Amino acid sequence: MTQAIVQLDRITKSFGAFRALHEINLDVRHGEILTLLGPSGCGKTTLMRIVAGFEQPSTGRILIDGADMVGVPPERRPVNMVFQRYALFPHLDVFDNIAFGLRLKRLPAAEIRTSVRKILELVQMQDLSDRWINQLSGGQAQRVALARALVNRPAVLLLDEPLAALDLKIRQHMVTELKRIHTETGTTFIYVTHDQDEAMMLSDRIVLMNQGRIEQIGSPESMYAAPDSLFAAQFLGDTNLLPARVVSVNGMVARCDIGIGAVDVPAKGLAAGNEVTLSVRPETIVLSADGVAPPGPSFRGKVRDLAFIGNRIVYWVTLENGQTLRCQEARTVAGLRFQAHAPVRASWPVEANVVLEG
Amino acid sequence: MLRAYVWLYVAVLFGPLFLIVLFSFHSTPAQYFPMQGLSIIWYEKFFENHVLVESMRRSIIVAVSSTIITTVIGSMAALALARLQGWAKSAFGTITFAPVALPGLFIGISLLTLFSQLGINRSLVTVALAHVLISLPFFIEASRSRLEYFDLSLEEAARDLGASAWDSFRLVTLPIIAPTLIGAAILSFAISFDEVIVTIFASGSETTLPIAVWSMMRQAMTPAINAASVLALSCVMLLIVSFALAGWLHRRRKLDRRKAFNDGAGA
Amino acid sequence: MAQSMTSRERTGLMLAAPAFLYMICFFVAPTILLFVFSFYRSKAFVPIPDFILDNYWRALTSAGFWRVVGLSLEIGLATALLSVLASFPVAWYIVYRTRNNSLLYLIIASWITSYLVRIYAWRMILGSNGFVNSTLEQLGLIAQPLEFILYNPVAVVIALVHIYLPLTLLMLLSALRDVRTDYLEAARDLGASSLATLVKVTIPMIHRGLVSAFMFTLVLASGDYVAPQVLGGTSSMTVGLLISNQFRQTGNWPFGAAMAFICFAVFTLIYLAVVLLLRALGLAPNRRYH
Repeated sequence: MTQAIVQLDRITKSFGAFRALHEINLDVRHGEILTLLGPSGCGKTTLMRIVAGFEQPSTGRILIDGADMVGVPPERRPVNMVFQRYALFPHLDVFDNIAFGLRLKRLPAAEIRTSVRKILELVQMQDLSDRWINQLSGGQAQRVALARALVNRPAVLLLDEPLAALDLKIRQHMVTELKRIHTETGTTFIYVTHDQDEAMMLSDRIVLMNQGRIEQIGSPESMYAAPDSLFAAQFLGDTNLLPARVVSVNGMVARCDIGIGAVDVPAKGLAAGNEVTLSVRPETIVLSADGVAPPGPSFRGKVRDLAFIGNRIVYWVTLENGQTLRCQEARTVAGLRFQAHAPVRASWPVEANVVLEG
Repeated sequence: MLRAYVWLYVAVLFGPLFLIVLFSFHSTPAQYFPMQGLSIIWYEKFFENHVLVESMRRSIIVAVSSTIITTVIGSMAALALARLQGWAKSAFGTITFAPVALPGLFIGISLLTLFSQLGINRSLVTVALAHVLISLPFFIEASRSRLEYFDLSLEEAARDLGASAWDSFRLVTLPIIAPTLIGAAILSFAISFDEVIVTIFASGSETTLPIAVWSMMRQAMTPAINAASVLALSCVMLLIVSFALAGWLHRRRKLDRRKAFNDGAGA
Repeated sequence: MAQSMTSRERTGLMLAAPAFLYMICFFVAPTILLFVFSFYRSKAFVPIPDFILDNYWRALTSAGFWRVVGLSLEIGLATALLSVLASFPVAWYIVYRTRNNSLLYLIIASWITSYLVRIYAWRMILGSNGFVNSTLEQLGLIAQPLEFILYNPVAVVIALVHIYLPLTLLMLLSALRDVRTDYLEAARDLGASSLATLVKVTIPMIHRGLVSAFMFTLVLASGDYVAPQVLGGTSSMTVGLLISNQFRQTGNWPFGAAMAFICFAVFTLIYLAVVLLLRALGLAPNRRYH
C-alpha cells in the first residue's frame, strides 16, 4: 500500500464556542479525486482551508507528503487552490495570473513562458493569454484559475466549489473537462461541493460530511447503493424512507412489517423486534396495473401526482395506509403508463431494501 | 426640461470660476464686460510679489506633507474598516468621520486651544497637522467603499501561490487599490491646498497661499487675486492630469511589453 | 459564526490604531479641552482655570448674541434649503438618467476647487463695479450702481449655496443610489403617480441622507465666517465671526468656547426638530427598518 498524500489525524476546529470540526481522520490517496460533500455549514470548506493553510486546526495533525504541516503558512505548502469565485487578479492579464506563482519561485523567464504555454494548452486557453480577467466568460475564468494553480505542479489540487458560479450547461461540460485534466496531469484533487451530482460524476471517493463529522466514505456507487445512515440515504439521491419492525429472521432473510404488509430484507445483523428504517430508491420500485399481481409482495395505491422529466417519469403513489411512495421509471416509447388517480400496485425486489438504524 | 436644468446647475457651478479665470487675463484692473484686452500682467505681478510666491511654496510643502501623512494613516484606516465588524467598525467609522460634521471654526478654535495649552508654537507643522485632521475623513470616506468591496480571497490566492503576507500586499492588494488611494490622495491635497478656515487658527506668522489671498481680499479687489486663484486651481489640476497621464503611460507600457513578448515568443 | 476574534479582525484593529490615535489627539482631546475652557475665567485676555458658568450665562442672557445666532441660523437654513432643493433634481438625474459618471466627476471637480475663489467670484459679480451692476448700467436700466445687492445676508447666502451645492449633491447622490429602480417601478405598478412615488417611497427611503445633507449644509453655512466678512458687510455679524473674534481679537477664549458649545446645542436641537418634522409630515418612517 502506498503512503497517503494527505493524512488528517484527529483534526478538530473550534471558532469560539462553535465546533466546526470534530476529530476528523482522513487519508487522501495518491492521484485520486476525493470529494468533500455535504450541506452548507458541514465543515467541508473549513477542512479544505485547513489543508491549504488558511486555518489552523485547534487540535490534531496534518501531513502532506509525509511532512507535518501544522504551523506552516499557505505559501510554503505544496498545495494549490482553485477558489470559489476564482480570485483571479484583476490587475493582471491571463498570462501574468498564471505566471504569478512561478515568478515568486524566481524561475527563468524562458522556463516560465514554456510552462504557462503548456498549461494554457492543457486547459485549451492558448489563444487568450493576453486577455484581461474582466474580459473572460465564467467558463474561461474557471480554466484560468485551474491553470494558475496547476502550473505550480502542486502535490494536491484543492478545488472549493469551483463550478458553483457557472450555468448548468457549462457546469456539466466542465465536469468532463476536470476529469480529462485530472487524467492528463495525474494530480491528486480534493474537491469541495454541496452538489451531489457533481460529486457522483467526478469522484473516485466521496467523503460525506454533516455537522462537522464524517458520515461516510466510499465510492459514489457504493455510497448510493449502501448508505450507512438516514442522512447519507437522503443526501445522495432521492429515496423513500419506510419505518419498519423486524418480525422474524430466517437465515439470510429477515421479514419486516412496514404497516401495510410485510417485505423481506437482507438479514445482516438484525434480530426480531428491531425497529428500523428501510430506504427504497424510487427507481427500484416497479408499478403495475392494479389487476396484475407481480411476484412477491406488492402494495395497492393510487397515483396521486406525476411529473414528466424528459428521460424519466416520476409517480407519487399513495398507498392504502396513507403513505406516499416516490416511484421513478425510465421513459420508453410507451410514454406515460399511468394517469393521475389510476389504481396501481407497487413492488420492489428484496435487494432494493436498505436497512438503516433507528 | 430636467436635462436643461442639470446643465444650468453645472453652468452656475462653473460660471463664476470661469469669470475668475477670464479676468485674470484682463489687461486692466476692471472686472466687468466689455473686456479691454488680454495680457498676463497679473501673473507677472503675482510672481513679482515675494509674499505670494513664498506662501505658494509653503502651501505646496504643507499640502504634500499632510497628504503623505493622510494617505498612510487613511489607507490603513480604510483597510481596517474592510476588516472590522460590529461595534468596533461603527465606532471607528463614526470617530474618523466626526470632524466633517463640525464647522471648521470649531476645529480651528479647539486646535488653537490645544496648541496653546501644550505650549506648541504655531508653524507650518501645526498647519499640516490640522490639515491631516480635516482631510482624513474625506480620504477614508472616498476610499473605504472600494476597499470594503475588495475581495480578501485575492490575498489568500496570492498566499496560496507562494507569496508571503508582505508580497501578497505588494503584488496584489496594493496594485488593485492604488488608483483609489491616488484619487483619495489628490482629494486630500486639494483640501489642504485650499483650506482657509482652520488654517487661520492653526498657522503662525508663516502663511499659506489661501491665507495670503484672504488678506489681499480684505484690502482691495485686484485681478492679482484672480491670478493667484487660477494658479491655485492649476496646481490641483496639474496634479490630477499628471496622475492620469502616469496611469495611462503605465498601462500603455505594460501592453507594449506584453505585445513584444508575444511577438518574440511566436517567432 | 466566529465568536472569538479572528486574525482578520486583529489585523483590522492594528490598521485602525494610527487613525484612531490621531483622532483622539487632535479631535477628541481638543474638543474636551475646549469644553473645559468654556468654564474658565478670563482675566486680562488670559484664561484662568476655574469652574464658572458665567460665560454661558453671559451669552445666553445677551440679546445681541441671540440676534447674531438668529441671523446665522437664517443664513444656514436658507443655504441648506436652497442647496437641497436645487441639488435634488440633479442627483435624481444622475442616478436614474445617466449611464456614465462624467457629470458626477465634473461636479466633484468643482467641489475640490477653491472655497475662497468662489467667495471672491461673488464679490466680483455682485460688487458695485461688478458684472451685475455694470451690465445693468450699460443696458441703461440704472444710473447708479445698486449697493444693496452686496454687503448683506442675501449675498452671503448666494455664495454659500454656490460653495455647498456640490457637497449637498454628493450626499443626496449616495442616499439615492440605495433606492433601486425596482422600488420606484413597484410603486408605479401599484398605482402611485410619480409625485406619490416621490413622497411615499423615495423620500422616506432617503430620509437619513436627506436630513444629513440638510444638516451638514446648515451647520457648515451657519458656522462660516469668511463669506460674511467679504460679502456680508457690517449688518451681517454671524456667530462664526463672533466666536472667531473672541479667539483672534478681544481674546476672551473661555467666552468664545462657551458660545461655540451653545451653538453646538442649538444645532443638535435643530437636528431633532428636523427629524420630528419629517416624521410629522409622514416623510420619514417612525421606526427603524434596517
